[in-house]
Amino acid sequence: MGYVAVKGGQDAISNAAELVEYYRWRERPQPVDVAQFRPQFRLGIDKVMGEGSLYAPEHAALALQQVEGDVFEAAFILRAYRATLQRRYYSDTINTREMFVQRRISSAFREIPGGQILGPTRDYTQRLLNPSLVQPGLGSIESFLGGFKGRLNPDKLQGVTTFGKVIDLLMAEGIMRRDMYPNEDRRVVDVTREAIKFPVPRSARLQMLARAETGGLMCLGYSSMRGYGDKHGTVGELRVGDVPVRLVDPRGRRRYLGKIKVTETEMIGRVPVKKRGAVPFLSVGYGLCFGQNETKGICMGMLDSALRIPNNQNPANNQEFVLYHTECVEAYGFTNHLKLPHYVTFQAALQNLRDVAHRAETTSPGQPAELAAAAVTLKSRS
Amino acid sequence: MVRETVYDEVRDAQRHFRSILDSLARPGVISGLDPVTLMPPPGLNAASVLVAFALLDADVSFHLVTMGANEDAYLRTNTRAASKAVEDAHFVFADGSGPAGMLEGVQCGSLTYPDTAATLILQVDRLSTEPIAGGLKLTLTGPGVETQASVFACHLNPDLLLALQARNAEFPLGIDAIVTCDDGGSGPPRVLGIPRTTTVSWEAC
Amino acid sequence: MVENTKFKASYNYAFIDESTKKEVRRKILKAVCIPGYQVPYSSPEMPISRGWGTGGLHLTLSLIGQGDVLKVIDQGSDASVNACSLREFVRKMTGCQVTFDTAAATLLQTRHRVPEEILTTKQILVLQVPQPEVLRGVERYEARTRQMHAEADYAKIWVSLYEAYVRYGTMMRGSGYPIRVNGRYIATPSPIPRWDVPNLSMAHCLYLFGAGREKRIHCIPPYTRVEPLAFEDVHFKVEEFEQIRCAASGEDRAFMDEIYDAEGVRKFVVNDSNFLDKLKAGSRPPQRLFMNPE
Repeated sequence: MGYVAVKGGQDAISNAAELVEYYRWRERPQPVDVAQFRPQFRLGIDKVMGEGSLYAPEHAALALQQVEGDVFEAAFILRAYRATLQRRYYSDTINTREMFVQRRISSAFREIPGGQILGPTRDYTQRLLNPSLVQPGLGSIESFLGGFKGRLNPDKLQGVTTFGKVIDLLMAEGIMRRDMYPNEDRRVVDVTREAIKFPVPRSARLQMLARAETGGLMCLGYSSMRGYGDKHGTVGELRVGDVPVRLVDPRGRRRYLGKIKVTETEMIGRVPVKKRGAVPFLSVGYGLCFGQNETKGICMGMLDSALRIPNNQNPANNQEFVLYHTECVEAYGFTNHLKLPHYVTFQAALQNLRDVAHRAETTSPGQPAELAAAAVTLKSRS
Repeated sequence: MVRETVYDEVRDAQRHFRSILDSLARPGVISGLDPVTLMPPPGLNAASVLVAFALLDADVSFHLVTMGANEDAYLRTNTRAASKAVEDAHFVFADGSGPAGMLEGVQCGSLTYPDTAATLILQVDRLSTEPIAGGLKLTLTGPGVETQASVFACHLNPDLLLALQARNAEFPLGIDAIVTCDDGGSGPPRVLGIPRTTTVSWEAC
Repeated sequence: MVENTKFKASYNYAFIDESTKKEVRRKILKAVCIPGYQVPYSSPEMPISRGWGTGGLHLTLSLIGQGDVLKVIDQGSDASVNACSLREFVRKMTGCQVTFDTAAATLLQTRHRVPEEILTTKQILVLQVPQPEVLRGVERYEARTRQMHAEADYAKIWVSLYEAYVRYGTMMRGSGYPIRVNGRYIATPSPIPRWDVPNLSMAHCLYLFGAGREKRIHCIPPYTRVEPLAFEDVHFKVEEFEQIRCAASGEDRAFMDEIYDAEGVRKFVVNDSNFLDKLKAGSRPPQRLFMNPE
């Protein structure tokens, strides 16, 4: 099936696209509505929004459906869509202390002000395949929701509480301080508007980590914990919830745009000391991403800390290694580009190799037998 | 001070960019810019304005050396580029008859990022492939020029060319110049590119 | 609630927004002024995958205008699937004329080949580049390679060529042979075969190189000296297709594709599809042929 030798490239592409749709629909399944899909695939959508670098749950849901659940393709679509959008404003920096918390835990302390709130998590469930989910039926969902509401105590819902941060306690004690990296490049840059130049400022590192592929971050975070890194830290605080987004309009008025759900992680680690006798302090490795994606938040925090201690011996402490290779759209594109025809470069390499083999056969006796045999075969075939 | 409405940001910018590209890729070839009916203040010729409209926007900065507040406001309003001191400017506009000292402070890039150097937009009164009485004959060689190219310009200070040569002596550092002309408003807008790689020699006509 | 208006898409001319085009255009101009130097640029995402030609597209879409005639080739062929995909995209986003005829095109985008037919002063060739950093094979860190270019410290790549020669008897660079541009920057010509490298030097046309994933643009202006790296006593050579003739045209002086037919018999065919079409029609387009030194 020579897709180059024949001048039918355009037809081949159209047929390929049609085949994809054929395989999707041939069993005549019930088409899934975005309104159905979005709430039931929340975590996949959150991952796609984070890697697509665009907070747009319905668009992410649509993208995921469009590509039959391929999260790399879905994030790619969202990124490409994002690139066409006009930037009208820059928002104020969000304040996660204003978060309407759904989930908030700390591994550093057993009890914290406001309490440990497990919130929506499967962390402590058993991963047992549940066949009863195949045919749930709306009847059972209604009775579940009704029963759930019935157990809420309306008196306890009075007022919306926000929570202080665990790190505030450590700052108050003095064992954690701001300005622990006085020489750090604090410029705010946008990696989507200019190519990164190494070494990158912290804002660029955090931005790239926030957009990075979760699996890539997980691989590097894990390596850091298993001896290929210097430290991993403790979860000082992990919180998931909604934060308000505000901006200042052209007339100078502060406006409220809406809420976005984010996962925020503060990993607590120790700042290494340079001089003997210097007192070590605690530092924060910070992670923030769209939706509920705790793996990403934790690994972001670990890598934020690791990247502040450059060390090219460890992949996780190697700025160029971490930032270049977790870029999901670039990694996905380039690895898959190997499927493109490479026969010219391959032909050029073959010519080179044959030249060497020919030289080896004619100039020097006592060749490895295989090399001499290969050279003879090549000559006789041409 | 006018806010222009006739300029087509898509089509005019593209066509003029191609002419500017051609002028820098082929130093010595004078490229015409398709005219657009604009009303700039007197200190800027039509070609300088079209170059500005094609290349400047809110992400870059400019500095006017020999022009005034009207020209400054015109460029800021119509391109949204920021007006800055010469050391911080990506684009520097000046009359070619100005003093050599005006190149002081113009950025010539760094060894690791020579592309951060400024682009100099130099206005002259006449530009031609034919000799001009009282003008300067420029002979250009280097990348983009097949053997050598000759052009003639009026009201171009030779000391400025000397100063430019000095700034461009340590390639890759250097300043890239776009010479602009509209014959004092009576001729078509034209540009001549002198990238930092071009060797320029000159003599009076 | 997903409504139609949210997803209605009408695209800007040439897809890319005007401020990105301006940024790319400014960077192109700087690349022209510093031949062989890699200019960093924003490289926003495109609907085409990274590694599949986004850099070439950024350049083409920032250059293209209503009068342009576009040709897109991949591995020398207009009909190659990815060339079709890219050409269709540009045509849909601009309404431009497209052609397979090298001589009729004003803007040509290519992956891994330079057309056999000599390009003119009216033409721009945009090359897609997977890895713009010619030193990446000898130095993995961007911060260090940038410094090496700044100081023209090219010792490492010279050593790697020397070592390859000592070990194999040739410099072992089939494609993407390193070149010195205008006597200063060492650059990659992109993964074109050695056959195409001599075409880059003192050419009539403008060469622009776009690496979208790595976010770099570089340029070889017209009439610029380009020298493939070589030693005084070990010269640059192009591929020799000795005793090989094209099975379709009988031609022997062009870069050849090696193909295997249904019976497993090996044949060679001229790679450049438009050049081959013209040969078969009986008219041989002008070519620059390089003679290998003895």
